[in-house]
Amino acid sequence: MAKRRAFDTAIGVVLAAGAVIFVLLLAGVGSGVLTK
Amino acid sequence: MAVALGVYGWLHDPTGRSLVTLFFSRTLTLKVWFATAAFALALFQGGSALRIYGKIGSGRPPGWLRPAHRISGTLAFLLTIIVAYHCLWALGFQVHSGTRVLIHGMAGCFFFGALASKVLIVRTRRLPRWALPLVGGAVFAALTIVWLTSALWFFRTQGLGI
Repeated sequence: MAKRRAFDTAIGVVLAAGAVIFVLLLAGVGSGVLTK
Repeated sequence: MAVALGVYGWLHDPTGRSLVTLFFSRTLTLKVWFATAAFALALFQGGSALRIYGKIGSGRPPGWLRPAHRISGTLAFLLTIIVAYHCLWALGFQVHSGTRVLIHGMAGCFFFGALASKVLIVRTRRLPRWALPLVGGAVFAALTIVWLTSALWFFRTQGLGI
């Protein structure tokens, strides 16, 4: 059960981090990392 | 979410800049192969969801299927972020570049709106049983349209090169 909860938390953190990074990139923050 | 992305793409001045290409020859091929990988993962998502909810196959689904479903979905999301970032940041929402591009832009924005809804709905137990398959189907349909109007179009007109 604890293992499953840790897995759910990890997936949630990755999804939330992806969403935050997406918004930051669109706002121009750190866009130089991905663009030439 | 979908409307916000559409408005952003419409108002933002396209930079026209390229992405880092990794081992691909150019940004466009990186995008079409990333989109194709995301679409392949989405196919697995659909199949694994049908198995998890007992719509296909018999007996209990294997124990690895549920975590594999979640990992593949997360990976697909991360791949689409890179592709969508370039679409919105460098190209914008284009309404005067032909029907294919217009449909692609609309489906792309709708995809992220549907995906955000799906991630929230999957954790909610107070909604009717048809809500999750409806939104999951909408996510898959939107990604299919996005792939058909971009990667498949690219493969048919310019080949399978990387």
